Amino acid sequence: MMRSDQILATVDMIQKENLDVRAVTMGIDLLDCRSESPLETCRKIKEKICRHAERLVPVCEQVSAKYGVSVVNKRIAVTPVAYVGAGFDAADFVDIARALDEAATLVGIDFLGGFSANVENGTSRAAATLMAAMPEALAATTKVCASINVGSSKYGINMDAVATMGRVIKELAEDSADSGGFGAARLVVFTNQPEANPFMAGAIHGPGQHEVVINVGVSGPGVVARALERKLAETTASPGLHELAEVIKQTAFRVTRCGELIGRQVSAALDLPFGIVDVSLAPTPKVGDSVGEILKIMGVDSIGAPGSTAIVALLNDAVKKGGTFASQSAGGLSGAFIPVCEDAELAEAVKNNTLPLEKLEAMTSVCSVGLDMVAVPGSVDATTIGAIIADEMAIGMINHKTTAVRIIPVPGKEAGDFVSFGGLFGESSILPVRNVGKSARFMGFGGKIPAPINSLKN
Amino acid sequence: MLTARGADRIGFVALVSGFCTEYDINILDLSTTSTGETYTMMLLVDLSKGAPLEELRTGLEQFNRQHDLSLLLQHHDIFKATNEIQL
Repeated sequence: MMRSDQILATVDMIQKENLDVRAVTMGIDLLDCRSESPLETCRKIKEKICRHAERLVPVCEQVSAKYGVSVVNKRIAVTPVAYVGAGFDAADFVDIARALDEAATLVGIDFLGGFSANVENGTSRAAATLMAAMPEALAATTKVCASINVGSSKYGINMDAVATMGRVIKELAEDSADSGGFGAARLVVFTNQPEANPFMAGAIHGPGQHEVVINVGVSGPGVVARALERKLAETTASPGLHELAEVIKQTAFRVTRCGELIGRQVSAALDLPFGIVDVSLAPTPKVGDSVGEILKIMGVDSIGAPGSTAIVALLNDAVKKGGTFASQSAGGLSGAFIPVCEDAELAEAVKNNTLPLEKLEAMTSVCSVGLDMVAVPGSVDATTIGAIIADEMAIGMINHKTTAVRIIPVPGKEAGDFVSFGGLFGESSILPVRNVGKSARFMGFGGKIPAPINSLKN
Repeated sequence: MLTARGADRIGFVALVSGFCTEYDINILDLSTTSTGETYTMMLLVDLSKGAPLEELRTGLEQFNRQHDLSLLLQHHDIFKATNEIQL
């Protein structure tokens, strides 16, 4: 028999502290679905997804019932569609998006990622067509998510593509004005996008992966927050930050172990290889499931106050250390996410005006992803959005890490107004953007930002 | 692993073991602890002769509603995975 305190700690993690498996994502290679005609390609895509994923949702539910741990999202990631649809025209790309959406609906999953292209070193004709088709493709679907990798530490940043994505994001938001511009929430712009990643909207099944694979994303900011609170309540003497880092590390170990166990059970039941565990702290809008809350527990009274970046750095690193030790194959984005709308405490900080865009950007330089689920005024122009993307991509490129931008210019709303996207996507006040319209000359140059040097690190 | 938690009262253990009998659950190991008003039982159980899992889960929900107790069933491997370095 195990120690009773260990049993009760585990029970509490699951029952009271929101430990769950955030996403089980099936990666499916679609390259062999390519046919001469777009119609036949779409048919093959649907058939292949349905064939492999028809048991995904029921198996996740069975494993979840057997182990008593919930699997919140069941998802699919596919080969970036630019590779599958190369040579087709924009209307055909929209048809592929529809086929993906229909397949996703048929198998009962939440989201499907992979309406994507890599353009970091230049834009191929296929990638350009996919980007042109993006507004219509996302408007015509409900479950399909899109991502574009515009930069990498190896090739630099494709600034023409960055400018294009600024315009696409504006168009997506304006086309979905009745839902607060939600269309833009299904698109992420990346630097150093991981090829295997279970988290939306940036999940893809990139090159060098299995034919079909199961990847898992764990979560549990609530578990970390409660563990820190218990540590602080333990003694009257204040622990050092290194001791808090140790608590986070151990908690991340537990959370990751749980996710990997569930993921491996799902992959075994489906007779598929197991890919990676994304060791992440992904918040939800639910109270007690927030990364922002951890920052407050660790000593800043307002999120965004000086010290916030240092705390995120400690948190992100400790999560990775605990997670990588727990898992046989950590991968994906792995770290702490700070998606503003999806985190009640971060959203509150924006409302109270303590977390400006610039501080958020600074925090993303040491966290796992980037500017995520950030709602800005609808009046911010496409060029300024492009420049915001460029800044974030530069952070990723120089630091050899993944960075991403998922920004929503909410039509008809101004700074301080409120927008709600519902469910896991949450809600937030609109974050003010300073210096709007003052980056046009920079963005006008286009071309490329060259790849960074690998020596002389300062 | 079956965990039962609730306000301490006479008949707590009888209620939980009654549930196990009703669903043909064999108790392999058992420990209990009491903190303040709350009484906790941790039971390592064998379900191989018991009712199918779905039926058991429905039974658990009903039991929790009827008796103002929290009975939670989780796989033993979860506890091993989250607490032990070597699997």
